[in-house]
Parts: sequence; C-alpha cells; structure tokens
Amino acid sequence: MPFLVAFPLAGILTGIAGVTVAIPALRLHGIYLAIFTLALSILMDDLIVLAEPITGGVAGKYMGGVEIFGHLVDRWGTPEQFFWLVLAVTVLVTLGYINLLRTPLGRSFIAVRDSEVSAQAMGIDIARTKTVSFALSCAVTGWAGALMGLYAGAFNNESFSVVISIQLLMMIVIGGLGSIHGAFLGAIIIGFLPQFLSIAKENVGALFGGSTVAIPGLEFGIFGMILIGFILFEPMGIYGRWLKIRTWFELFPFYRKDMFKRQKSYLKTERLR
Amino acid sequence: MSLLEFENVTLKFGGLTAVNDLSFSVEEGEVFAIVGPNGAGKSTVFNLISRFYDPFAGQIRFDGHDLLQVKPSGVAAYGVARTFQNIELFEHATVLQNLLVGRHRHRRTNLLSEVFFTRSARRQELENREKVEEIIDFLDLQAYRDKMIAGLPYGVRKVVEVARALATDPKLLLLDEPASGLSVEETTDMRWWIDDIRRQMGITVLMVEHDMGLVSGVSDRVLAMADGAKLALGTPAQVQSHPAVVEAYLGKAS
Ligand SMILES: Nc1ncnc2c1ncn2[C@@H]1O[C@H](COP(=O)(O)OP(=O)(O)OP(=O)(O)O)[C@@H](O)[C@H]1O
Ligand SMILES: [Mg+2]
Repeated sequence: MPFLVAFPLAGILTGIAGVTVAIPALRLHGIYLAIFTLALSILMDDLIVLAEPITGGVAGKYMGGVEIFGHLVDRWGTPEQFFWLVLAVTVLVTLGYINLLRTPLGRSFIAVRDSEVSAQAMGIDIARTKTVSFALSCAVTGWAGALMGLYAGAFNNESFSVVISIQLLMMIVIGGLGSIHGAFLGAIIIGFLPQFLSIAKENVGALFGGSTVAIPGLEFGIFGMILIGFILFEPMGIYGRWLKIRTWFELFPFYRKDMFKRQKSYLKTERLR
Repeated sequence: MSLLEFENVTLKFGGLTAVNDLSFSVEEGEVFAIVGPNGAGKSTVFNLISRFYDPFAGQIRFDGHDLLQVKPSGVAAYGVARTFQNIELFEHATVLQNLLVGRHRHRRTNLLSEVFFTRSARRQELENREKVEEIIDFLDLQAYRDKMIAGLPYGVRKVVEVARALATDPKLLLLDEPASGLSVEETTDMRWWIDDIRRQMGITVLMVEHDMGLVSGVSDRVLAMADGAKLALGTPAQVQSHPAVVEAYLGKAS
C-alpha cells in the first residue's frame, strides 16, 4: 500500500478504535477514566502478541523507507526528508487544531470540560462531544504512531509501551493542559531533557575529575520530580505561568493572586441548585 | 396557546416532594416571576424545563411541543435559554468564547468543514461574532470581551451569564435569581435590561427572584410557591397581599 494511502488510514482506523473505546468510557470521570485508558494500553500489549498474523507478534514488523512523490523518506538514508515529513504533519495537525478551537466543535470541548450542565443547556450533546474528542485524539495519536514506526524501522508489542504514554502525559502537564502552546513547550522540554541531563552528568563528572556520573534511574527520578513540582506549584504548566506573567504586566499594579483560581467548587449534587 | 405550560407536574427526590402537582402557564411576551421561600422548588422548576430531571407525573409543553420527549441537550434548539443560580460559566475561557458557545445551537458546519475552516465555516464564524458583538454592546461588556471568566468579579459574571443565554437567540429566557448578590446599582441595571430584553428583543422572560422590588418592577405576573406547590398566581400586587403568601413568608399570625 502506498504511504500516502496508508498514512491517512492509520489515523482513520485509530479514530474508529477511539469511538469504540469512548462508548464504555463515557460513564467514567477523572481518575477512573485515567485508570481505564491505562489498563487499555497495557491490554493492547497482549492483544498485539495475540494478533500475531496481523502484527507479527513478539517478533514484530519491519519497515524500510517509503517513497512520497518520488522522494525517498528513510530515517537512516535520508534523515532530512524524514524531518520534513514530520514537520509537515505537525504543521497540518496544528493548523487543524487551531481551526477547531475557533469553531463550534472546539468551543464545545471547552464547554464540556468546564461545565457539563451549562454545556447541555446551550444545546451541546455531552456524550457525542466526548466521543468526537476521543476519536480525534486517537486519530492524531495514530498518525504520530505511524511516524514513530517509520522512525524506529522495527516495532513490536513493546514499542508503544506505557512509558511513552507517561512521557506524553508529562509533556502536556508540564507544558500546560488545554492549550496548543503548552503541547509544544512540554514536548520541547521533555524532548531535550535527556540531552541536558547527559551534558550535566559529564560536567559534574569532570568537576570531580572523573568522566561521567552514572546513577541508574536518575533520568526517571528527575522526570518524576519535575512532574510533581508542576502539579504542586503550577498545575497550568509553563504556558499557564506565562499567561500569569503576561496578565501581571498587563494589569500592573492591580494583579491579584487569586485571579486564576476557581472561585468556588461545588459537589455534583450541589451544582444544579 | 401559551408558550410554556406546566400541567400537574410532580417531582420527588426520595421522600421529598420538590414540586407538587404544579400547574401554570407563561404567555408569549410577558415577564413571569416565580417567588417563594428557600427550598420552595423554584430552581427545580427550571431544572425540569432544562430536562435535567424527569417529572414523576404531569406534562410540560413548550411552544406546542411535548418537552418531555426532548433530551437535555435538545431543549436549547426549541429556543429556551437559561442562567444558573450558582453561576455556571466556562471558567477557563474568555467572555467572548463563552458567548460564542451560546451560538452553538445555530451550528451548520461539521467536523471536516471546521478543521479545514472552509468558506462556510468562516461565514458562520463572522455571523456568530456579529451577533455576539450586538449582545456585548447591549449589556455593556466591551471592557471584558477578552478576559478570562476566572478573574472576573461576581457582578460581571452574572451579566455574562445573561449574555451567553441571549446569544442563543431564545424565545424564552429563564433567569434564576438574576439579581442575587448584586449591588443596588447593578440590580437597577438588571431591571432595565430585563425590560429591554422583553420590549426590544421580544423575548419572553421567566425568572426566579427574591428581590420583591425587582419582581414588582418588571413582571406582569407572579407565581408564589411554597413546598413545591402553588400558593398564589396573579399580578405582583395581588400576590404580595395574598393571605397565603403573607403567611408563608411571615408565619401564621394566630
Ligand atoms: N438534585 C437534588 N437532589 C435532592 N434534593 C434536591 C435536589 N435539588 C433540589 N433538591 C431539594 O428540593 C427542594 C427544592 O429545591 P430548589 O433548589 O428548587 O429550591 P429553591 O426554591 O430554588 O430555593 P432557593 O431560593 O434556596 O434557591 C429543596 O429542599 C432541595 O433541597
Ligand atoms: Mg433556587
């Protein structure tokens, strides 16, 4: 199958898978939804092994370069072509998201997130909106997975492990939930962090006259600490922090500390009264 | 035919009868107020219209349609908009975004035309924005257009909620305690706005309000409730002097 057909299909199929997952997930909220999706991603590992005829099981599948409009895109042979491909997909997806956010569907996502009762009163079908949001994010993840497959060249049931899910989650929490800027900021930081760490390790090692410091698990430890730090001190991520700084300058000297806090929160049963 | 009709509606929460065999109807073009002590079931009446609860018995009709056949997200499509007693805005969005959500029921585009921001999606956004700007001008919200709800004072939020409801272009506007927590000046503004909403925009208003000054100032008819049941129905003056209402508010003078 030519890449230009296979690639869109990757998104469409995962989108459909997203809808199937969304239907049972609609009843769940917050932490329970998180547990459900986590369980599903672990289950996927086994499903891939079981579906050996399609997936190649534990041995996995191999993929060489692909040809797009006569250009060979191969991570090893023509890495710059691979870069342009990823960039093009990223730009297109981002433009799509920007368009969504300025049209009714994107606003209905915001509405459902902030207040289900009033979203409903405005005519937004909660179940449908959630299903579409699941399908969309699954489709985009499907495209990312297709690019990752091309990048890795070989992949099996362990290629898309929980560790990746956790890394993606960290990116978005650190960057700032609910914003396009946040996704980019988070991806840049989490992407560069291992490099920063190894440079830092070498420098610290040189300080003591050795070569490099080798502490097992150091990377994950630091990732974890950063994540906890953000959740405790800046739940809105780097982008949220930037918004606060901007507002502070805009309103100087009238900025109040509680400006970005929810004024009140109600229990579900209290909210309607 | 009345715009909104309640016919012997009863709703129970466990053992508590929140709405008890209630019948009333709201005529097109009027301002209709519901008053009553705390816990009388006023907000529950609104929530019934919004279809958040299924009544235990009775009929609710709107504009000739059986509202009980409509799902909660379908009510807006018939032209019913509302505000909430404990303001329910979209906190982490701007005033403008909140009002634009109000336009949702007029959506003509689909996922694809929105993702590609096609000509029809662009035209629709221009229309939405134009309509929303009219409401911003009407309610004097210009200064807050791009502000996040989360940072706004209470009085402004109340107005934004009314604005969002108006953005849906409703036939019937439900206001749950529009003046509670407002200053005297803000309440006066609200009074004139409600008047204009009815007179200029031709929207029927059904409101719950404790402030009797506001109620007698703007409403044509008043329904007094206690313990989920109707006490009295009539002009503001009639209801205020009705013995059952006086008794419900002041206790039995025996
Ligand atoms: N979801 C619910 N579950 C259980 N009981 C409820 C629920 N909603 C309302 N009630 C009860 O129904 C009764 C009527 O409540 P409602 O909110 O309609 O009163 P209200 O007239 O709006 O009062 P207030 O003036 O305080 O707003 C109250 O006793 C309330 O506790
Ligand atoms: Mg109430």
